[in-house]
Amino acid sequence: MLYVKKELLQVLKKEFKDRVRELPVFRGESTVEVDKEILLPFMGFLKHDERFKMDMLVDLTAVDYPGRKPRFVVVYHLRSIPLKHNLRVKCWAENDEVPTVIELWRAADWLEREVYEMFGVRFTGRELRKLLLPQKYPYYPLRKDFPLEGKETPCEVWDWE
Amino acid sequence: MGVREGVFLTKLEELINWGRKGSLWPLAFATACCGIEMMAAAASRYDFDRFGVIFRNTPRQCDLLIMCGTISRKMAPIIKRLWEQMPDPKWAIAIGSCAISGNIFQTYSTLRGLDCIVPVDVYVPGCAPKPEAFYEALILLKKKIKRDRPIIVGGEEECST
Ligand code: SF4
Repeated sequence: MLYVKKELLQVLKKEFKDRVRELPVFRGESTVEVDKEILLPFMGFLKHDERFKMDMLVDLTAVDYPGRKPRFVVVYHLRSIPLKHNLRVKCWAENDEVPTVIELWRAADWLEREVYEMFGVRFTGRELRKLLLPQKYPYYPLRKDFPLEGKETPCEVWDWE
Repeated sequence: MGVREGVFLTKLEELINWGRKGSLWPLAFATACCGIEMMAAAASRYDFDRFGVIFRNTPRQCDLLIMCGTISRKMAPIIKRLWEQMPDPKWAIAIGSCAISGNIFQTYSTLRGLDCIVPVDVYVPGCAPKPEAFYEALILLKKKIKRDRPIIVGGEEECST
């Protein structure tokens, strides 16, 4: 797995100034953190720029940091098929909300729905339905304060609509 | 309405029970890995057919529910409906730890055993039980059916012990 080179990260920094921060490189995997306000232009740049061409959204997920504010960070794993490099992008979800990237990558559809049902992070600018859990399910099971055994829910919750 | 026990009725009951236990038609339905063992048990090497067990594809033709596998909370209403669609008389066998108690999957999305939704006649422990264990379950069930009192009122309490 080849991640983007250092020089390319400098390009990002020049383009977006301090709104993009470089996170420590872990085992050759580069990560950048981006402000929520410029997430969409930033992602659009990554997708369309000649030097990046990130045309594939490999994964979209979130991490829960209980007690921190904002609590969730949304993580995007991007891949460029023509240029054969990867990049991980993190974006803190202030007020548990981030803009949707569904216009850029259709693959984000189900992934965002899954993040929504598991963490309760809302993606603005799209219709959100839970993907696997029943629509009436009141909790978010992948949050760290959710017990593994689950919480008691009334039976009707599990009925099919 | 009470029907008194007599030679004729007793013989008739035996005939009915003989017919019932010789043609147990289970539903071809499995939810997880135990289903593979059920397929093995039904295929030529272990050959369920010689017990009069023929798998049917619709619950309306079945009188036996062999529940193979983990039951998720979302699947539970469907299994209940399948059970209700089966005509009386009907029996249920819970195969494997998952159908007995939920096994290690003690999570919010797994049902803790088939007996939460359906009355179970025979439990087969194992993960997954061998096809031989399926035979034993069938033989136990046949013994149970043999003691059944389908006509005589009040006979059932007697045989449930
Ligand atoms: S009891 Fe074991 S083999 Fe059977 S469904 Fe559960 S996990 Fe799979």
